Amino acid sequence: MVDWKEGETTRNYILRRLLAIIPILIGISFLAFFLISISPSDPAEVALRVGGITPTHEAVETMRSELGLDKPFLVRYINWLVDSFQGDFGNSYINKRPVLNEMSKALPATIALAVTALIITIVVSIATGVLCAVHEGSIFDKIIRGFIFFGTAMPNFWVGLLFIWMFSVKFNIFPTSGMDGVKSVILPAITLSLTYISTYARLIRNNMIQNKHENYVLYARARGLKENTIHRHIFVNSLQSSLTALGMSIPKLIAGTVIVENIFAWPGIGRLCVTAIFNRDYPIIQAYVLLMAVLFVICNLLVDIFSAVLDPRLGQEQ
Amino acid sequence: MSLLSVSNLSVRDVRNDEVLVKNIDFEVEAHTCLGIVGESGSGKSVVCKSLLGLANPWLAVKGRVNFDGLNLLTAESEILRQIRGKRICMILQDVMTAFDPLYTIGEQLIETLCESTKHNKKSAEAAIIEALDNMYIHDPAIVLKKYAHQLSGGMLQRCMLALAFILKPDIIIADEPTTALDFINQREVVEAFQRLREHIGTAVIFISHDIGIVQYLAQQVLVMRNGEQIEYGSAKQVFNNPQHEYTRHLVDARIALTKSFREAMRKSFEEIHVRSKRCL
Amino acid sequence: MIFWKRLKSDKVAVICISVIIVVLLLGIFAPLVAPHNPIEPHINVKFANISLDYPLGTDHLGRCVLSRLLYGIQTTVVLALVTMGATLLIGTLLGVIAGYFRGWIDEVIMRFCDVLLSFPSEVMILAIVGMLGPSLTHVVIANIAAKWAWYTRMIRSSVVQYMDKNYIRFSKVLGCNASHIIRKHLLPNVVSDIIVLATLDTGWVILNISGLSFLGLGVQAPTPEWGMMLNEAKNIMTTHPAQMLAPGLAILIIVIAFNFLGDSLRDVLDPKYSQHRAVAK
Repeated sequence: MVDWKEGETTRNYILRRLLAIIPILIGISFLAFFLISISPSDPAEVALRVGGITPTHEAVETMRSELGLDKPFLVRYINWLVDSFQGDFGNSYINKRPVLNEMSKALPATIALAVTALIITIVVSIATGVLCAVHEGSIFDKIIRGFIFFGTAMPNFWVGLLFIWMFSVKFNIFPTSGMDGVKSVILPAITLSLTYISTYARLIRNNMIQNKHENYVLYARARGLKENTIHRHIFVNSLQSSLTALGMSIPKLIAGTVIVENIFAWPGIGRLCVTAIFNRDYPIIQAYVLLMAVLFVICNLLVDIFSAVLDPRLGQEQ
Repeated sequence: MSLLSVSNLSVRDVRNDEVLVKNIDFEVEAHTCLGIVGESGSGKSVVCKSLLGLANPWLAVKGRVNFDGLNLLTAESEILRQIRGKRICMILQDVMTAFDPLYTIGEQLIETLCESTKHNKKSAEAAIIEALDNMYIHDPAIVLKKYAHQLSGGMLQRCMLALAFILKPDIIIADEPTTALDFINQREVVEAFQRLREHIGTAVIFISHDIGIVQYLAQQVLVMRNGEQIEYGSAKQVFNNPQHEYTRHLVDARIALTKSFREAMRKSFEEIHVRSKRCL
Repeated sequence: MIFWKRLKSDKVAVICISVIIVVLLLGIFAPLVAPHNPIEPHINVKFANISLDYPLGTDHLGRCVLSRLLYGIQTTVVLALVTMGATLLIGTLLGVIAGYFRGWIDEVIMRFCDVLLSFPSEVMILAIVGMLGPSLTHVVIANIAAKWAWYTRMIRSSVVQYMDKNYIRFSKVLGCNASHIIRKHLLPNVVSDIIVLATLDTGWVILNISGLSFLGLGVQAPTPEWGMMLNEAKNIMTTHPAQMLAPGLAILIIVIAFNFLGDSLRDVLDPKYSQHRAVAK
């Protein structure tokens, strides 16, 4: 969205990009807050019901002013924003504990899962993508592409269930659920990474094949460079083009843990959010939405800056 | 015995059965320059890429290309790779995209030398700097640290020529090296070619649609049109006494251009002369 | 049109279109085709084996699995198409308005899309379902809300591209009114750009709807839906793992059909792709 202008220095680009973030962040926070306010049920009523109190008219009114719901929209938004900055996301309707605490308890589990999945995704994607491109058109390429194709079509919740049945129930290699020890992260991580491996392997393969037909490859061959050296050049160029997509896989993985955490009873924020949805625990849903949105925007920013800085074609400081 | 002899070279696109090049025959003697002229789309580029096995994968090449007792079209890929660069060098037309954009020119030139010759990194760098100097490039050490997009087309062409200078190939195939350049750069590259030939006596196959340059550089000329060989012979004979109508048309067009250019220059010189007289 | 000829000659595309049409017809006519009522429980025949009476057996409540699959088409596939249709409608409407009229309308719509697109779609869907409450309608709304901005932007840039072409300028000079130009000249060209992506996205929407239903956030029991059926199968995995097969395979097959179709459409519409395919062979 924010492109590097010709001849712009690195520093200027980074500054410009950072400035562009601000309206986006404001827009996102506004959108997040707006989404939250579309709930048809009255949060005050819900809070009362959950607390086991009958929502009489007065009780609701009292709760409304307690929760600050009687103030105008903009005021509520700004209050909410300021509070969020300070880490105060309110208290869970269910167990009355601060949302921040609940989230911090669950976050490490999700991070562990996402990081493991990330490593698997990157290693497998790059390996398959490169091998397929190098042996373009071979049986190997066709088979792997078939797998990739299936991978994008397979519902990951189904795959997860099949994995559990096969490896936990039938062969008892891995634990069926819960988080205890390194073994328990393998199946959920593989399930999570499957969807993304398909996408990124295909991306890298396509980038490499496209690079194969570039002029610099022709000249490299004309100079008599060894095939391995040429492949190295192609690979580095492909990686450079794939950098943005690969970088964005990080927040995507973190957001995508919802289903996997549910299947494997993994105590992460995805599971927390789904439980909150069932319980109408709005403060938690709010915090989750805001956190993920901000994470995405910041990751996008970092990835854009990083890949642009790495590209010698941009940012000539003359 | 000629250095390179091409007989019955034909190239066909397997996707739609289109014949791109038909029955090309020519020979290149050592230390001479063969110019291949023709309009865009006449198949000149395809012919040259086919010589080194660099044609697009969907093109089928038939015929014989004899080089040093070897048929290049049927040679093993490893042998072909060793010939490329060291014994037959190729200069590409589209020079701005000929280098990997993510590595400096220096890194790529050094890499080529280290793989093709017995140079190590240090000696390669020294050799390249000397070669760049010979190609009239100022501050070669600084040029080495630049990326392709930071140099002009003419500079990049001369870097390619510098590589040839070091590798001392038997033949240099230059695929329209001046087409993408402006006039001043063109002249520099042509001079660099002459210098290269004087220094290392390499044979050159020079492809161009600019007859003027070919006239300046070549001893033998091959005229191509729509993938077919129209005329082939010594440069003197082809240009002064063209047999085929098409060749005549090409030569006439160029002469007409030069003539009108000279007329225009003469007229403007006269005017300047007259005006300056008035001032005195 | 050349487009149809090429598409017809691509066997894979033809198979996919046939599969999709057959599935849709089965779904629409499920009440006539399904052998049993999909909702009524008959505990006495629970976990029945495959037989003529129950071609795919019965589930834990004695309901015919095949019938539930067939009725499930209505929820999973038909709704996915409705979702895509609505997304495309909104996207086209806003995209064409933004691209054709430019000016401040364009700015406003595009800024809005920028913000929406910075918002990760998975999170937005969860947010909307979370706030409105678990239900199939809300899942559909959430999917539409998550995707429309992307299509608006794509269509707008297509429109802007084509606006620059001369025949549009001539039409304007001739005095054709906006809606005529849009309908006759712009839309046909823009459609071909979008149709590939829309087809591929349909698969994504199907996975989304069934995924959310799997979590229990979409369809509510006892309505048959493939994701929900997997959820129910999950609970009896240890004793009756075979229950997981039918709904999972159904989702897999229909999504593959849409993905293959999308790929074939792309080959047919973009000559460069088929070139590379020929080379690779």
